[in-house]
Amino acid sequence: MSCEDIKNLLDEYITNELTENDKELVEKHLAQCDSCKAEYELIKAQKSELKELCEPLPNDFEDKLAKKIRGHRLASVTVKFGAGLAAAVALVCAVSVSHTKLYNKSLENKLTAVTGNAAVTENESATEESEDKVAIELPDEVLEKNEPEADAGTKNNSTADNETSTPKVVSETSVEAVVSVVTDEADNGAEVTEAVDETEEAAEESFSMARMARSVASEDVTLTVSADVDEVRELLSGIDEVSLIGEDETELTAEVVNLSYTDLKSALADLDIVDEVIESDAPESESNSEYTIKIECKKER
Amino acid sequence: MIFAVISEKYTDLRIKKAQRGDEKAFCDLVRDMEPLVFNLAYRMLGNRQDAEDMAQEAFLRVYKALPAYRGEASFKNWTMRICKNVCLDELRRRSSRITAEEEIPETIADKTDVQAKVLAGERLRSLEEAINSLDERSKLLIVLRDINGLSYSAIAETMELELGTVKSAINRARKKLRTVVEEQNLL
Repeated sequence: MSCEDIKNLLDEYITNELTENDKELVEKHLAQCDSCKAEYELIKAQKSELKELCEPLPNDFEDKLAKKIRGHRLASVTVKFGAGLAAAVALVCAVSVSHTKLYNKSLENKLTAVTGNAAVTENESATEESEDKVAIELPDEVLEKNEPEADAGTKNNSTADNETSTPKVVSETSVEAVVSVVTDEADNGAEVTEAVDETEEAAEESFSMARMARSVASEDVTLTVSADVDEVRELLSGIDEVSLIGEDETELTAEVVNLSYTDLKSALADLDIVDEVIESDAPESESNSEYTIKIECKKER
Repeated sequence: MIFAVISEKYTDLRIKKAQRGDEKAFCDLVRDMEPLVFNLAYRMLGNRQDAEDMAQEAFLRVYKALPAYRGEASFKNWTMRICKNVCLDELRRRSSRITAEEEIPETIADKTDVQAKVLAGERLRSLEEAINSLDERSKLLIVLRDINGLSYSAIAETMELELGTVKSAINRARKKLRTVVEEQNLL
């Protein structure tokens, strides 16, 4: 390797990011090249000084961030709800205007009937008009949802007494349905997704639980963690050496083979979720040991 | 091995939860990154208050963009990239505002002058000044590599550059920094 190649590796040599092979090459080269050795000392000193410039995080940074995130979440829900509400109000207004027009029209018809003109014919045309209005102003899914009521209302149109009440019944039911749909949307789409996910997870969970033996005679170790059962199960699921043999709402029991208990505990502790460790019969730390471990989950599902 | 597997799974779980709007999962997820993002913002913007504001803004953007995160880049590098972009946007915004208002910007040296002398001594103050005198790209690279301690591949992902380009650019940035410090010492 040339000096230039070695100089390009010095930074990673200092931070211990090189492969053993490259590390060895650098060390051999530095032992016999003063120029590269000087460069190495310079970079090392500079890096050390720069590290001192690390600025401490403000104490309340995380609290402020949590508030900011919460504020954003609430604001977006409010906006969604507001938009939903506005849509619902707009719809109510549209239907009311339509209804008022129909009411005026039917009143006109009634007056015409009283004065002896062709009431039935005109009333029928008013009913047709009312159906057209509703059909235009209501979303398809709402009309489908309320089809039976709408049909029932239409059937009543044959008598002049029901001519004003018919469109009103359709409109109110439909508006109620729309408000319900819109409010559901405003309740945050993510929650709907979450509910679906949870249902899938629950089905998966009951399947896997059915395969598991329910009880375990004794556990060698009990770990208490501040995580929920689902999280811990998921964390352990990718580790071949760990087999779940029991589970309930707050506990998981697993058999561990060929994985040192110290390593498993450290790996979980590294995530900062382990609260307490009770080693009733501490397993050997050798990696070929076999033991059972009970994990008590403080956060329930 | 087991550390890597569990840690990766834990991060994935947090990402999934955060993507569904879980605020706590999000805070858990970014906790380790807070000092890195804050330091990057501090070095880019020059004072603690702006750095805090921009770091918070960067994390909020990360939270908003999280549903679209598909894991193409590691979460950490993706977050650092967003932070870098937030800081650069802020610097551009400041630059246009300063041009419009004909004002001289408040630099890190102005703000931290006394603080640096008292807390970190003359040597560190000189180093801070030297970093401030670098171009934005060199400054970013030095901060990411030597202050935040990111790997070359993480920096490449954050900066959206080729790995080879990152290595040579960091070498150049370090040489520039060294030259500036030497010039300061001569004065």
